[in-house]
Amino acid sequence: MTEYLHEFEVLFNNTEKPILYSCPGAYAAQKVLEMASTIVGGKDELRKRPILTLYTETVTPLAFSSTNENIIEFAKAEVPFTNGPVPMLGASAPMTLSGAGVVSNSENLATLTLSQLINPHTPVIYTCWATPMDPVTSRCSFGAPEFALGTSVLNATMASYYGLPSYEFGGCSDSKLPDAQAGAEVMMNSMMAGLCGVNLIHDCGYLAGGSIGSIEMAVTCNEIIGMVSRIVKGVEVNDETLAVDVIRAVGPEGHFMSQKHTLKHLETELFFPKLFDRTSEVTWAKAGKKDVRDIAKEKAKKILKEHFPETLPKDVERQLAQIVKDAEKELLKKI
Amino acid sequence: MGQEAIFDELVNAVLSFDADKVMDTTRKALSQGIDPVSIIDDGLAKGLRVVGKKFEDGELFLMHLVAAAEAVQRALKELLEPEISKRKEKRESLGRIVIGTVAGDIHDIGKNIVAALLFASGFEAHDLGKDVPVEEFVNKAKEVD
Repeated sequence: MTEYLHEFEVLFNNTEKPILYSCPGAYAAQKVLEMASTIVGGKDELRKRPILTLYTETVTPLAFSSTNENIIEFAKAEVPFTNGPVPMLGASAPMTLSGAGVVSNSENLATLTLSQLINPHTPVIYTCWATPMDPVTSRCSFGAPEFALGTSVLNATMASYYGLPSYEFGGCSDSKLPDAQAGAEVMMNSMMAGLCGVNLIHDCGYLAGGSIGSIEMAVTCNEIIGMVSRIVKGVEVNDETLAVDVIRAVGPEGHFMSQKHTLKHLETELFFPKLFDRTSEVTWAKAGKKDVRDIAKEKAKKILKEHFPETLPKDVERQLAQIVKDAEKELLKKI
Repeated sequence: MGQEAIFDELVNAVLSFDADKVMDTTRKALSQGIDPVSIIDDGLAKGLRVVGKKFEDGELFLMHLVAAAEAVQRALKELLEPEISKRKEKRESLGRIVIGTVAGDIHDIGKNIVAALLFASGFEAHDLGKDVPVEEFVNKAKEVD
């Protein structure tokens, strides 16, 4: 259990972003909440500015385990949680996506009920997931079309039915490399998540069905997410964008390059790739014929070398280390 | 009807993945006076081996393997084992295996498949179920050794 505390310590010390992660059971949850309170300046502050969200998992089908006692601790602290049931088609749930959705929804309604009984102000993020188990390998397939359907369509529909924010997957693949398979699967599940309007999307850069975290794939996902975001933005249609006056002014056989309207809309209408290559084959060849995987790797290395997150104040850093140390001692005594 | 026909029927019942059919065919074989150990070795276990091979070749999926294993398991527990102990017979065994899912773990699908295929290959598999404490494994091993 102490591994989770060490992981949280590393996370708190190395990111300025909000954290969504697991801490199974009541004790780990208490300690993690203590660490978070220390960072923001107390329990009340944490309630107002929750810098973390708990990720917990019920035991599909239809069971709680002692690890889910973390929900109770987060509810008491009024810090958000999300429960991710992973019903696998034909294994831990019915073979049909809808049937698995029923199992998933039931488990989530149970966690919502539990949390609201403890504290009716507990913030929650809803999920309704149905995932395929590959019947040949018995692995949960993160890159399957049914995975994209089962975690986005069902999820977004049920979340909007209940009026709750939703949480799901995007940016993950079954491939072992950040290759063409990974690109296709990541685009598929990211696009589905985006178009369905899911609120919180995770697992970017996950390969091998969630067994490998790939930094270069995360960099590629960033590019794909940019494209998806552009598609989700859609086509704006109004007098300004229809630009009939501009078309009339330019007239037949003219060009639009120097029109004010062009420059005004250039940067908002287009997505600008930061990673994917759109140059000619000649330019590409001159630049060393690089595969996008190599470019992503270079970029990941550059970020790791150059990016330094803002660190926590030294005394807070020390207090976090002390909480972990004390917890370790306490847990050793229990053994 | 010769014995071969009923054995084929048993194998086909396993390959239908229908537990009721496996039960009915097993009852039929017993009523014909077929020896329960032969029902296992030449019928049900043979059927499981065919399923295992077809799974290995990618012709069948994990669900088929589990369904077949559970069907055979039911026929064993409810029909064949009581009959075998009544007759004080013994199935020839390649060895005795004690198997179970360790304490704290309730995931038993993989274990069930292993136990079923060990059984199909001629081992005597003692399946202790799921969430099994160490002491139970030790006690069972001492008991059957």
